[in-house]
Parts: sequence; C-alpha cells; structure tokens
Amino acid sequence: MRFAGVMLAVAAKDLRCELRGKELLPALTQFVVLSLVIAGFAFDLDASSGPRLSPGILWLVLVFAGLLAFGRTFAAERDVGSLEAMLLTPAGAPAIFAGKALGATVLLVACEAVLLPAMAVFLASPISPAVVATVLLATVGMAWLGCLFAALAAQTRARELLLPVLALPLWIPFVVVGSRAVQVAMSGGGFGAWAPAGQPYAVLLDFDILFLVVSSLAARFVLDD
Amino acid sequence: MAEVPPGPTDPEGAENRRLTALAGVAVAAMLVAGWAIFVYAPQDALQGPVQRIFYLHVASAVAAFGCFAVVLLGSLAFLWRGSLVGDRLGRAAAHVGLVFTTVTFLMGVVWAKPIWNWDPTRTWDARLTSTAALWVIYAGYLLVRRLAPPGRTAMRLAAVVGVIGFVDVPVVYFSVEWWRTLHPGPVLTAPGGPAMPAPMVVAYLVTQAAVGLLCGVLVAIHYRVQARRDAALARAVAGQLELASAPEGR
Amino acid sequence: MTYLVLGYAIAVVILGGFLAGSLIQLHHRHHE
Repeated sequence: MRFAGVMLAVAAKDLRCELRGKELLPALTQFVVLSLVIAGFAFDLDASSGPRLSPGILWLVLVFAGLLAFGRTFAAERDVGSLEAMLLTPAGAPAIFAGKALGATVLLVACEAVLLPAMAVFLASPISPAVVATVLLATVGMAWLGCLFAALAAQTRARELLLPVLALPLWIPFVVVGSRAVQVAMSGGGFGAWAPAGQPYAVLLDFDILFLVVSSLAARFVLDD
Repeated sequence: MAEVPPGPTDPEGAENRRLTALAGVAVAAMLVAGWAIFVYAPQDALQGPVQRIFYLHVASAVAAFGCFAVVLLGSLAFLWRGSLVGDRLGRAAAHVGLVFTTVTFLMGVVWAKPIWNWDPTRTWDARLTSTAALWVIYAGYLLVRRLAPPGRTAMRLAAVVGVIGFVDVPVVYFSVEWWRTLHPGPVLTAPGGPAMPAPMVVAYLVTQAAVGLLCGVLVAIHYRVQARRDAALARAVAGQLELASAPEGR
Repeated sequence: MTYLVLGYAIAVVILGGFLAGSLIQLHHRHHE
C-alpha cells in the first residue's frame, strides 16, 4: 500500500470519527474561546494592549490546545485497540503515524480557524494572511512532534504527565520563533501580504522540516514492537 | 545464595577499588582546577571576582553535553542493534548529565544576577531557558524509562526520547547566536581565537580536563551499579524459573 | 564576591554529594 494512500486513509478515518462522535472539536473550541475570554479579563486587555499581547496569547492557547488534542488522538485509539489492528496490516507504521499526525493537524487548524478570528474580534489583533501562514507553518511541526510523543506517552503508566514533559521543551523553538514571526507579521512587516520578512519565517520552515523528518523516522520505533 | 567472600578472587571488590581510586584521582584533579581558578587565573578587569564562575560553569555545560551525546549513542545502539549495554550506558549518562546540567544552570543564574542585575521576571535569556528545557527532556528520558512497561518497551521508548532530545542540543548552542539575548557571545570559539588572555584559557582547560575526568568516573560508577543490579535481577528471575519449572520427583 | 562563593558552594555541594552517593551505591553489595 502506498504511503500517501495510507496516510490519507488514516487521517480521513480519524476525522470521520471525530465528525461523528463530536467529542474533541467542541472541547477544543470551547477551550479556545474560554481562554480568550479569561485572557481578556486577566490581562485587562483593551484596544492598545490587545494587539501587543496577541502573539503571546496566541501561542499560549495553541500549546495547550495542542496538548489536549494530541493526548486524545492516541488515547481513543488505545481504548479501542484499533492501533494494534492497523499495525498488523502491511500499511507500515510511518504511514499510519503520518495519518494520525495529519488528522491531528487538521483538528488544530480547525481550532485556529476559531482562535484567529476570535482574537481579531476580542483582542483587536491584526490578523493578516502573513500571520495565518506563520501559524499554519508552526502547526504542522508542532503536530508531528506532539503526535509522536502522544503515541509514546500512551504506552506508559502516566500519559497525562509525560506528554507535556516531553513535548513542551521541544516545542519551545516553535513558540520562540513562531512568536517572533507573528510579532513581525502583526506589526505589518513582510514582503507582500503572504509572508513575514526573512529570518523567523525561514527558521520556522527549517524547524518544520527537521522535526517532520525526525518524527517520521522515530515513529517506527515508537509504534512498532 | 552464598556471599562472595572478599579476597583475591573477588572481582566485584577489585572493581570497586579501581573505581574508587579513579574517583580519588578525579577529586585531586578538581582540587588542582580549584587552584587554577582561584589562584592562577588573573582577575577579570570588567566583571571582577565573580567572573571566575565562568570556568566551572562552562566546563559543566560541556560535560553535560558530552553526557547527552553518550545518551544519544547508547540510544542509537539500542534501537539499531538491541544493545543492552547501550541502554545501560544511556541511563547512567542521563543521570550524570542531569547533575551537570543542574550545576551549569544554577551557576549561570548566580553569575547572571550581579552581572546583568538579572531579574527573571523581567528579562528572558535564551540560553538559560534552553538549558532548563534540556534538563526537562532528560528528566523525561528517565521518567519514560521508569514508567513504561518494563523491559524492551521501556528501553525502546526511552531511546527514542534520548535521540530526539539530543536535537535540542544544537538549539541550545545556536540560540545564543540566533536569538537576541543577554548571554555573552561565544568567548572561546570567537573567530580569531579565544577572546581571553592566555592564563585564563589555561585555567579553563585545566578545569575542563578535571571535570571531564570526574564526569567519566561518575558515568563508569553508575554503569557498573546498573550492570550489577540488572545481573542480580536476572539471577533472581532465573532462580524463580528454575523453581517453577522443576518437575516433581526428578 | 559573595555570588562567586555562592556559585562554587552550590557546585561543590551538588557534585560532592552526587559523587559520595555514587560511591556509596557502588560499595553497597547485593546479598541475595
């Protein structure tokens, strides 16, 4: 079975399950909206401080939403035991993993589709196409890494403890660089409307490629016995 | 089971004596380094006496990175060849590396306070944060090793963390150069040679050698302790199996 | 100056304590 075919099939299966069960997406959406409301009160945000604090709030919410999403991606699988079943097929662990990571990415993007407009409305954040592009870029890398550790943590006794411990340190580069890139994009910098200027964006891309490759290589060892 | 009596045929005791002697040499080397740091090295004109923290701080950082490189190699050896030695070496190095990372981090914080009037709630240094992240990753390595289903699964999962965690090491180093930071730029590897007078470089090298020796001895000790525990466990399990499988009346 | 002392005191305590603990573990024999 071809890699891409398996990957898309697994992702489609996950998303279909989610649409039918309607468990994770509402929870994520609620989390996002709630976080913004609380941030509004906690930081005493107004028209001037909102845009200034936006990059930070964006990544804070995204990181915790990510932990929520990825933890559940593998928890459900484990309960049903369908992961073992999939591994028995000739599909291959890397492709299955890629599918799960893709599914998780789509979920997170759906989150962002709520988060970014909400920020524009409640926090007066300047959300431009450059900001969107940056966030999407970072999401892919975070999702692949997050899913890898979720799969790992799911096999241990303390999954809720281990997922943040493993994922957060390695997400720091994304948050640091992503935050910088979003800052640049939000202050209007960038060539054209589609990408913030130069360095942070390029570094983000580098991180994406690095972590995508590393996660894919490691997936075989995490999923297979 | 009988105790192994101490004496000429007691290999464990001989090992212990060798390692303890090496530890003694390492301590002596550290004392020499102490002399180099506090007596031999000249005082820094700009920062005054507190600059001397640099020597052990950097030496510990290098030792920590070295340990995590060993974790990487051990993890790779396990993943590629099922090497149990690799897994054990990784575990030993992770423990020791964690200790040296702690020393590096705390000395860094203590150094930063008077020099930058550093207030962690107001400024944010890339290198300090990355070092803290490194600490968490290798604590995670040890946690996974302990919390995963024991045996090959735990070794396999921890090895994955050991390999991926090492990716953070370049991030730590390059964070100084890429991200705007308060941390002094590379002093030893600045282009054109070390930006320090020769006696300081000598003091640093002496310290690094002593710390490297200490680090190596500690890893060796922990490896040996783990190896013995694993062997004792294996013996106990084998004993149980013999008892369980001995058929009646044979 | 006090920071210098503090820094090295921390290092000595941590490294010394760890070394001592390691040696103790080494010399503790497992009796079955």
